[in-house]
Amino acid sequence: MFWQLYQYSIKQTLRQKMTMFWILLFPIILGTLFRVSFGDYLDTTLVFHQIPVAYVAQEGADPSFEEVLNALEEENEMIQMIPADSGKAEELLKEKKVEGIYYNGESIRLAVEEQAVNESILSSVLEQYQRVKTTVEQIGRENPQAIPKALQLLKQQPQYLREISITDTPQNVMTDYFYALIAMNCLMGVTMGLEIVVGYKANLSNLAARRVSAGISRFGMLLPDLAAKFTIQYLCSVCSVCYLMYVMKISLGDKPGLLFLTVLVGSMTGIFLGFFIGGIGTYKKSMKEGICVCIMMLSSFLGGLMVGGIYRFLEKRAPLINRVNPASLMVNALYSLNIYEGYEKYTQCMVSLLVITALLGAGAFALIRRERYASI
Amino acid sequence: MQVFKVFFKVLNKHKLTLCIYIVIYLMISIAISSSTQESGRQEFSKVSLSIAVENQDQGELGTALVSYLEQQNRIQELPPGRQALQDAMYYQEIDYALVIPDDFTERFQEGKGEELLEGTTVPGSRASALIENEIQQYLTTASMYLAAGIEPEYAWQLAAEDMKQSAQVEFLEENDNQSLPNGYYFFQYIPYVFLVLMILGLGAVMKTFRDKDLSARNKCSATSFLWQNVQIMMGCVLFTLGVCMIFIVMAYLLEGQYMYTISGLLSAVNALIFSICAAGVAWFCAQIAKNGQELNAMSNIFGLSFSFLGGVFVPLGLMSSSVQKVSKFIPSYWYVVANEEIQKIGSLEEAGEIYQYFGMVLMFALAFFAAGLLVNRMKQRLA
Repeated sequence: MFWQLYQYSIKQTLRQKMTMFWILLFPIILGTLFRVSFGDYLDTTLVFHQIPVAYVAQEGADPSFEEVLNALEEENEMIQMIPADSGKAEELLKEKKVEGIYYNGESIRLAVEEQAVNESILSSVLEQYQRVKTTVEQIGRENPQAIPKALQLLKQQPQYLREISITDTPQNVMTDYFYALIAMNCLMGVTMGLEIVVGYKANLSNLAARRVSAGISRFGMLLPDLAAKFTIQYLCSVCSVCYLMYVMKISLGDKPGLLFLTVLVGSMTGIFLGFFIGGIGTYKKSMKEGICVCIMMLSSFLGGLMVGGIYRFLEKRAPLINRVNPASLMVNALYSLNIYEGYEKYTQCMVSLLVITALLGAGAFALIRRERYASI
Repeated sequence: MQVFKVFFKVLNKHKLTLCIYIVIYLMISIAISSSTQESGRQEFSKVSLSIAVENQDQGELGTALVSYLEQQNRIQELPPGRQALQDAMYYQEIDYALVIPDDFTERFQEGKGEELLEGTTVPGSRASALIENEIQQYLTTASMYLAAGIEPEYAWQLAAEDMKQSAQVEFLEENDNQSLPNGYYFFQYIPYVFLVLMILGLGAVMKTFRDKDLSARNKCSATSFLWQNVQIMMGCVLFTLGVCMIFIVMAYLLEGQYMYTISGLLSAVNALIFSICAAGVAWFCAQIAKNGQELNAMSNIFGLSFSFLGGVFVPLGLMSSSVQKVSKFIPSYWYVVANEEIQKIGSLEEAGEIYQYFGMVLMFALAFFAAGLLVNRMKQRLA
């Protein structure tokens, strides 16, 4: 009996085109849009690339500055020098082909279009040149014999810093949007959870009214439905996560097993949330649908789907929200998996999520058990 | 004018959804304009970065180094524990973490300063390249003075003096350094809300008129088919203008000063032209959607994809060049480009290119109307 009803329920759900659109296609579309819009954010804004800069030699140019720039280009790979005349250089700067222009004349100047990190690095290069010049002059005044020794040191470029990387995995704050997207996908299960109740409570649908009068136990009809909806929800979520990981090539960490476990628990939370909301009161289906969508969107919003960094903001101002909001818990679980070495925080999030799911499930069953309808 | 009246009666049934979108938009644009109140920059100054420092050094070089870094950057305490540091760096609250060991001054003076400082960074980040460069510069200068036989304390002082030299940096054009007015942000997100409002509003009404039984009944009424369609058309035009007016009035109330400039005027025209295009998209959607649920799905698909790909939500500069090429096939791209250009001009004579962008958006509107007509014709033939 269980398997028969389970099969029917699966078939019925798969044929609901709109439901399938929202739980399978919509996350994939949104994921694709996220990927094309800011998938390259890290590369375009944070990662260090050789900075292209135009170089304009004017009358009275200081030849040693050009030498320094050449060295920076060839040895340090810090800048990419493009010699040009001043008209061409300005054109390049306006077209954003270069980040700045060095004018080497009576004095050395830098022209830029905006004020950002790359421009600061260019200005720092120029400063460095002028500072070294001052330093050598100063040493010349204090102790002229020591100039060769000092210059020797400048050539050696001793490295005073020992660099430590913060994590082994690449970090990208934009990944948070994808975590939030996965959380939303799991929470889309609310509509499925609601469908279960609609097919169960006789005041909500004709199907349920017919079922009440059937010969088998109502609980026996509920379980296969729950299992079928959960199966589809989980499989759809896994599909979109796989799509993000393998087609869109988004790095979601190197622990896919635990990632899918999080999705499993998240899907369960989504289904039971809808199940619980559906169980409350005798409101119409459309009203309950509205509440479900509102709660899902609010939860996703607080998890960082629309505004990145909201998790961090809430952690400082209202940490309680992050402890009870399912989307935030999922986002944080996935984040901890990717960033921290240990599993302490991940386990904390997962336990909270399981507790919430259990409470929702228990609440829903308490609401709908022993419901009887008057025979008229 | 029964049909015209019915048009708005049907629309009235969807007022709640439409109002919610308008209110949410209003709230978001107020939030954005209040959070982006930056003052215009006059002179170039290097970006200020956040450095977390733990200075254990018992000598004076550590303190000298920190006070040098402090001139340009924000110095804060190192967050306790590795996880807290990881969190702060992930969310870009700290760009660099520096630990200065207790015997730093001593060993630096002995000439054994190499790799003594511990710098924690996000691998490959530009900000850390900048900070590392600053630290290296200062310490190299200090070591040059030491090598020249200058007393350590005097050497730190001389190094700090040298570091005060600043480069001569200027902006290529004077208005390059000005931040964007709030009006820009108000108009930036309009494509999304227009598309959603038009598809959910206009689309829903047209869907109702296209209902099989209802349209069959209407066709055999005394009112001519042409007059019916003219009335529906008038309803569409009035609704489109109405939505546009609501947002322009909202702009006047919120950004009055901006709206009285040439840029404000052009922004309003830009929004009006985009509303025509959005109406075209809504017309197209109404032809292919089977019911209200599908229309709802389409409002999300068109609204979100046009906004993301067109550079409404995420600046175009952040996208890779190949994506930007695709973006050109989306009307909101031309809206966004026009909105950016509008901020740069001072008079209508300079607006030549902007009119071209307006033209592009109108072309897209025409394309969507035509596509909708095609679908309509094909459906009629198949029916």
